[in-house]
Amino acid sequence: MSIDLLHGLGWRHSSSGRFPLPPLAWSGMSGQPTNDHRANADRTDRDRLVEDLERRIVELEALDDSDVGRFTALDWFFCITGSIVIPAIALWWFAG
Amino acid sequence: MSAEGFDPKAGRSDSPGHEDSAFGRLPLLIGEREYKTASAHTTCFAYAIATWCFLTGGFVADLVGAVQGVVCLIAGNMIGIFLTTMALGLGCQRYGIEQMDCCTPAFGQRGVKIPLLFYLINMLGWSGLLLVMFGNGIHNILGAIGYPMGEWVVGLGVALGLGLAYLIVTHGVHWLSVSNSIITPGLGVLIVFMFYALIHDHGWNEIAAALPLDPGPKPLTNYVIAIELGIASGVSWWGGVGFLARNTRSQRNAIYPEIIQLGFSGSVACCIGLFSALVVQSNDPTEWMVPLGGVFMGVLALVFVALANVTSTAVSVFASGLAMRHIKMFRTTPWWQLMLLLVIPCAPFIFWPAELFSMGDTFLAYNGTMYAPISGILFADYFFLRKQKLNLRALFESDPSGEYYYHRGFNWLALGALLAGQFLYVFLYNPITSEIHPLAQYAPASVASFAVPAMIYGIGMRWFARREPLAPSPCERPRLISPNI
Repeated sequence: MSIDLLHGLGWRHSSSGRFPLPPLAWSGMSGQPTNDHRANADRTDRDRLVEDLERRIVELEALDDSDVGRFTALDWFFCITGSIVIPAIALWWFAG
Repeated sequence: MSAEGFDPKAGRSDSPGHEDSAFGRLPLLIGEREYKTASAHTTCFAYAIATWCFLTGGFVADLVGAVQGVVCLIAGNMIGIFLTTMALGLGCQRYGIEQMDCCTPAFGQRGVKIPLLFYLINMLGWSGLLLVMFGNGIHNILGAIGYPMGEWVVGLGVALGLGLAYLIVTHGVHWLSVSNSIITPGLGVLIVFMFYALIHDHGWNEIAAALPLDPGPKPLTNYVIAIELGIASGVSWWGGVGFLARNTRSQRNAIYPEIIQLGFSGSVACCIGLFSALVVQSNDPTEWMVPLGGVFMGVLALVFVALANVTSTAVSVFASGLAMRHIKMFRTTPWWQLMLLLVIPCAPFIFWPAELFSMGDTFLAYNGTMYAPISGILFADYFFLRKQKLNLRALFESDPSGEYYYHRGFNWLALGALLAGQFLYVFLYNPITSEIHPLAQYAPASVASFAVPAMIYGIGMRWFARREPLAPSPCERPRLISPNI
């Protein structure tokens, strides 16, 4: 498994090449004013995130299938032949 | 491709939410996707070549010889990857979504936690096996340099490896990026070296004539179990397929690199493990290096493999921690506590390393019971029921009125089909007792437990479940009511 999987699962990599604190990591800070400030900041971040999500949904729903590259009947033929038919024949042949 | 491979010059960083999408759950726009054809193949190759390939090869060497083993590993892996990749790969690529989100239309907003649980079991099980390999490595290094120790060193090694992995994931995760850029090419070199040593010192005839290590009384049963291990090895890639696919710009790049690299290249690496195990007559990869490469090269290779095992374990534990953040109750748990929660289930490997390592083939087959039915359900759902069209908005809507909310957040039909698939698998091949039903000679357990749940789910959804969407169509609903992000 490579480090890329970390990205896939939500880890952010900073431009400095170091990993920042894990998402929602404990800061060790306490106190009501700080908590309120943090809660407000979190709410703003979340609102921004949801807004971005909405924008992406609209953009991706509007995409035509050809925009993401077609997977044609010929592709299916190659994949089924190479991954199912030939392996199945080989398994049967060498069953002895 | 490593974390450093991210290229801001590619015109993707101008998007304000790029980091949240690339490294989080936001769907990826086409322009933000990182992998073109060459980089998709490179990344998949880097995934495929890992120390667990040696373990898989070793497990198959218990049952069959070199020729049948090669067929089982390559053909089995190809079949397993195909079953896992098609729906998940094309779905994640089309909408730029991660794989847990791609499971939501079938399992429901809350039901999707079941595949997540399987994912965690898979990750932690592999971590335990890799840690025992680390412990065995220390034991064998000490033996090779003239300090033979008792088996207790293996348990101590597991504890040490677990401690190191914990330290890395809580304090030094950036080292993973650095070590990854060394370990992946290094493993490639090691595999080439092992292949050279095998052919040069032993030759193909000796490898082909070597007897399996611990076969059962019936050759056909051994062969059927070896096929099952091959398919389970391919199906085990379920955890990484979605991420790779969502980062590609074309559907072909989402599928071909996974089939060719994860399926074929990965199984070739497993075959090197198979040959080594047969020649050395041990399924423990750490016992191969010194006989194959001599003391100096062998110890060097052992040190390298040991390091690779610790970093692989750290990545597994880390990835599991991030996956746990999908569960609401763990979203605010301090990171160090979450990591501790994940490390504790690996503790039995400290006390019973040999016993648990000997169950590695059972664990590998168990991956088939987990992922084959899920893959079948996703295949039926994505291709036959939804005709490759998902309601993207509903994926992120956790309000009960959402299309994918079903009954209390669970699609019970999918969960029932999943359970049926698991029972069928164990009926055909029980990984714990290694009992094989005669029918398994005609339909491998993984294939049957892919096809039957797919049929149950597909027919059930079409005829018995409510086919009308519960929610208005996306264009009628302007905003998400309760976004689950």
